[in-house]
Amino acid sequence: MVSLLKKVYFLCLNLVNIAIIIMVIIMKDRNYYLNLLKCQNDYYKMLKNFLLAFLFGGIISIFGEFIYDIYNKILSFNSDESIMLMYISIILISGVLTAIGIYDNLVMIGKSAFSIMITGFANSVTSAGMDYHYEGIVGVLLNVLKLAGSVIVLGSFSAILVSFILYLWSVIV
Amino acid sequence: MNFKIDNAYLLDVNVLCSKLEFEGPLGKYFNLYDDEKSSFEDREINMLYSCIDMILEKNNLNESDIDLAVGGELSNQLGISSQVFKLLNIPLLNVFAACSTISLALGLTSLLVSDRRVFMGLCYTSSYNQCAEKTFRFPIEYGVCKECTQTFTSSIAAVGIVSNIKTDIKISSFTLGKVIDVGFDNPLDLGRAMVPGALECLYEHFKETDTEPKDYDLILTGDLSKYGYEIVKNELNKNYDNVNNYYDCGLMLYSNNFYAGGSGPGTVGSVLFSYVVDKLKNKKYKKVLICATGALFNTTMVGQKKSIPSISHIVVLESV
Repeated sequence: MVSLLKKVYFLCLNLVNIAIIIMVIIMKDRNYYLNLLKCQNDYYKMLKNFLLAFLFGGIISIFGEFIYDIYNKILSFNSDESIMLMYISIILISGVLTAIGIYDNLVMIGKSAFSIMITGFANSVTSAGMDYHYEGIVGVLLNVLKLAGSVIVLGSFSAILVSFILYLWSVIV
Repeated sequence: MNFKIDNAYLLDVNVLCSKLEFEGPLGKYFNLYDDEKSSFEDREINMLYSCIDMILEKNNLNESDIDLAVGGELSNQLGISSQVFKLLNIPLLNVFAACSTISLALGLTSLLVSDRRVFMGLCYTSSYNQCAEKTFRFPIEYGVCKECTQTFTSSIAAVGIVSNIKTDIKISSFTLGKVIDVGFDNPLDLGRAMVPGALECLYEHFKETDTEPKDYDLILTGDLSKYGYEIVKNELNKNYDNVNNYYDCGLMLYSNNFYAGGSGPGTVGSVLFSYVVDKLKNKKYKKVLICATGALFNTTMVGQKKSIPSISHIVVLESV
């Protein structure tokens, strides 16, 4: 009885060993191909892209200041009101440029500056809706927030969380 | 899995392209299709239907003369094939193999024709740039920096007729490939993702037919982009000596430095059914191997953090 158990035990050990050897052979083939497909980062090109994004981000900010000055000094709105109007104007301009079809050519020049600022949000909303206009008004409305949905959900949730913490702090302290 | 085929001949071919490909290096072999009035899916449907219509009219054939149509394209659930073939009266066998559809379709048609089960078969494929971008990547006007490894899907419809009638070009061998997955998971670099599939299918074909790369006048892979092309060239030079008759279809279709090359099922179909057929008819080449590669890419699977497998099929054409 004990010898039978011993034989079964050694048989199982051998099978596990064979399975491990086969896995190693398969993984070696897989690792050989994975090593072939690795690519190196081009640091010189990355540095050039960072500098271009920095430069064009500054240019967009200067453009925003210019519009703020128009609303504040020439059209004589309040400081708060002209900030709101400046944001709305920039969103409108990005939407119109996306609809004409120039915006992705601008992004090729200015790299990620045009997609991080508020202009990027307007572009994602407009371009996602444009794709579906052959499916009618329902198609456009369903798909407008496809890429911007995460921004809105996370923004609302973090606002609720932070205000809750502030309320607790004011009650306790 | 290799099949030897002995009684299938290529009767006629036709390729329709859009403006960018017509102005490229191979533009003189293509016909131009210009339609700017409806949605992108409508344009692809009309382009494929016109291509089939043109080839039937050129050879004085009727829809009832064709026994079978084999092929596929990149849309969701192959919707565009259904919309085209509801207007034609031809039995349909549609397959999905991403960008390697044309060699699978040509091989299957030749198998059935050489067995004398089918007298005349039609193989087709089609792709359109904006439809593929909408399905697989970002919206068309979305401003995102494109990586240096991204390829450009071509807008091409390619159709061919295979039958028992003796002509100058015959299909002599067909190798079915397997799905190969090595754990590569970057969906913006599909050129490199298809390299393992291409290499495994090439090795299996050379082993089962007992040939080497120098026995062929030209070896073409599908759309491996300029990075994948370098990797496969180095690997072939390591295992076989002095391979200098190997090139890539995606690099032939557009001029240098246009993204990283061409892509899509129409790329291989257009080069195969225009440049290669022309050289075989004028007896400049005698034996050509086409290895079309496809990345079986699905946004749901990539979202769940699975890797991207690849597949590849091989067809050999000879001049008689």
